[in-house]
Amino acid sequence: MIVFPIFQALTIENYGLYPASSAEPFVVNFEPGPTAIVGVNGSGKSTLIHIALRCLTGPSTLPAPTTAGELGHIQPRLVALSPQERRFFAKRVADGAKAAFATLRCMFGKRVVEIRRRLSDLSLVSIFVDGKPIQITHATADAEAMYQQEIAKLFHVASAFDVSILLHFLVFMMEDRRTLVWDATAQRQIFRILLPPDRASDYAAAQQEFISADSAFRNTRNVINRRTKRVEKSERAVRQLDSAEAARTMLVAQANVLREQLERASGERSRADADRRDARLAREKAAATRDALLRELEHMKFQALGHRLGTTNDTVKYILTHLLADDECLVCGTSPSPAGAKIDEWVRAGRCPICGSAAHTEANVESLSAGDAKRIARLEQQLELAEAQIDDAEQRTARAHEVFVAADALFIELDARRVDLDAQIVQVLRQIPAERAAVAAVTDDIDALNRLLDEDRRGLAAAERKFRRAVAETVRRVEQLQDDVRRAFQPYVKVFLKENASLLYRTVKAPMGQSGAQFEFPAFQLTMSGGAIAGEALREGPESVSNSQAEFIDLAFRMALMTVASAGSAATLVVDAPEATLDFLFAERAGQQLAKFSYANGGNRVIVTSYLPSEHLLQALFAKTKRVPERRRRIVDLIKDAAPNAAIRADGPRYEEFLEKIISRSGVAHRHA
Amino acid sequence: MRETREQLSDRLRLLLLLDACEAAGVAPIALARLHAMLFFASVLAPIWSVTSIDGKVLKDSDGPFYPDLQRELDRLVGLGYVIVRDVSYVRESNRWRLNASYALNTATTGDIFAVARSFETERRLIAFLRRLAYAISQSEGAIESFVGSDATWSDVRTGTGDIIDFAEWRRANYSAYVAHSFNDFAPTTTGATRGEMLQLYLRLLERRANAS
Repeated sequence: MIVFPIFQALTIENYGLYPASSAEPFVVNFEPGPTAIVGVNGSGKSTLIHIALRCLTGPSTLPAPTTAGELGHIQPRLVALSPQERRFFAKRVADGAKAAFATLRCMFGKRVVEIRRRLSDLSLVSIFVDGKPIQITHATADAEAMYQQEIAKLFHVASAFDVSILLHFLVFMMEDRRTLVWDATAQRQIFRILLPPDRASDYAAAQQEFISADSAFRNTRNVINRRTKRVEKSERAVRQLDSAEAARTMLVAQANVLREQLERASGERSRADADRRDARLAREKAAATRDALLRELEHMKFQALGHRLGTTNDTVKYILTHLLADDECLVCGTSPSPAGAKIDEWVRAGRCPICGSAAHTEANVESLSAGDAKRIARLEQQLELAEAQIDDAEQRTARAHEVFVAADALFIELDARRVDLDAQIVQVLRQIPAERAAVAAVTDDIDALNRLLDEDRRGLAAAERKFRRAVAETVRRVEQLQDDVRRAFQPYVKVFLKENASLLYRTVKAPMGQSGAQFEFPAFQLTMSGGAIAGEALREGPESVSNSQAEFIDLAFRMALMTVASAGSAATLVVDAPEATLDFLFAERAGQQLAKFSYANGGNRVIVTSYLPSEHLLQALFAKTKRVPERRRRIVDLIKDAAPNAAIRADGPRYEEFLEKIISRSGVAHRHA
Repeated sequence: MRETREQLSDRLRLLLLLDACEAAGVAPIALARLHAMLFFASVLAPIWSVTSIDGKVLKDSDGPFYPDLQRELDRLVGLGYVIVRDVSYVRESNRWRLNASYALNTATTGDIFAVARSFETERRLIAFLRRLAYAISQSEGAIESFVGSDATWSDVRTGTGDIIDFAEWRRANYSAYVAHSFNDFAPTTTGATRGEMLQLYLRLLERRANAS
């Protein structure tokens, strides 16, 4: 179980960005529930939460992946910030933050921890646990190393690297908006941390060992290739190769080409397999959705028919409702049925569905209501959409399956050729006379290197097996937790989205290293309904939903993971400017979602920054905070407390008036009351 | 409308399944139970060396449901081969579902069975489905509640909402492996019969379902 920090207070001293901190410490208290840091652009809201983050991470950060896919491959080791980066806070004020300090007080379970750092260079001044100081050495590097061990222990994780992963991907949602739900490699890191600390650490070591072994193997092979080329050139110059050697060279070259082709074919086969599985899933989901829509339509029409046909003949009603709902005659199979429209018209008018008699109406019930008619029209539209989705997915499946079959056939053919070629090489090698001392002399070092390559190959195979075991352990762990995560996700996503959205657990094949080895990693993906989609469909990337949806789906995923990873204990969630991309209705729902998490557990804290684009998010966030003094306490007002910039000097009173409206719950309060 | 070979073959298998229910005295059969039976008929087919009705199924929290087979069943009602009763519609898990019970219309299906019995493959399928229906008729609980305990369905490596592929593109039918493993515990001279393996497997699921 991971122990997340529960923020209690952030104290800033002598930092020019917050002038109040010069006279006396500027203290921001975080009570259970929501807290908002508000101010105009440039007033230091993001800086304030950045300070809280830096108090925890110190002058270290995660290594920057060069591509999105590399986070799962990076060395699980923190990198030190450059001297420039360490002066991030110093550069924002005239005095270089010479005498500025920040102290973050937070709880880890029942332990109270106070971390104090210099804002000039982020160096650690002190760390107190339960009121007792942890002894730190004077050398900065040693102090940070000690601190990192201590903080990892407090989080109940294996390393400070894992702490940083949790802070950047779960606790803090900063401006860079690192999303988790669409980042399978980031999820891998989180899932690894869900293992007990010693196992998570073994996993990281096994991964590192595998990547190193992979790289050693490739390096040796490259050296051999270079030497071989040189030797072959000189050999050719000094003597004539006999036919066996020529054949060997040719066969080895062919084998090298074949090996590369095999790697490519293997990758192509995996990709095609993934494509056809996705298409098949889309088809099956659309078919299930079609059935549900059809049954709802049947239900509505069945109700209308029930009164007209009495209860005696279920089969007739079954056939008629199906005809009305799907326009398909179950008796002769005709679709669309020529009588369908007429019968539908009769039913809507309340006439007899068999002969159209109006007299029937008087003795029975009313025609379909306008509401029913509207709903029926919508359902019919969705039914068409579902049919189109089924067709499309079937075509996609067929195409992807064709590609897979071709890739599979190619792979099998190449593999058979490889086996054949290996046998030929062995045959040819047997023909080369052993006594060719001259050749042996120049190839001695290649032989030695080849032995080394064999060792490397064995090392790589062993490292691969070890890493495979570590990955399998994570897969088992996530499989145990999958239903908890899916359940925890629902209430948070439902508040924000009117669409139906769920998490889908799957294992995803991905390569590691360059040897072509593929591993099955655990991952959650998103399925969601939508205006132009019938039922829920797989959303493979953030681009498949709107910007604002992506952000709050990801937040719901973070909330679910934090809930499950902490086994329901309290946690803190910090979100920088959550309402930046939202219209007023979504801003309100976002506030409700954040508020829900903040009250989900007696001790959770949710801290958001706001540049006050509207009052909707804050009103929803503080809907449960009815009393004005308490609201005032929960809002950190940087309009008042930050160093005044041009915007404040010009329009300060207007900002204050707007904020006061939110605090006093005037204007829009009735909507949330 | 011209039917495809798959559609006709699905219809025949549905009729044979309903015939098996009739023979085992479990007709009419409710829709959810019928789909659960289709699932078991698919995963346990290898025991009888018959082809699975469908080698994959969508893992839904409400249990197995085969929309394509349901479509063919609807057609069989229209064609007069199947009688439907107790039709109603219920809203469950945010979507609408049909509730109904189905039985074979023995007055119209005699000729079909006469032809079906003349083929070896269909004879084997009839024997398998009847044995399955007998095994089900002897269970005290509802078989749809056993699905959650089935070895293939409950494999956590396939998450809810994904497709369980046990015989379409993969070979991962754990239910059949388990049922076959009963052979290891049977007396060495005879081994367990196919019927015993099927019966024992369903009994195991029933015990698991009752224990949970």
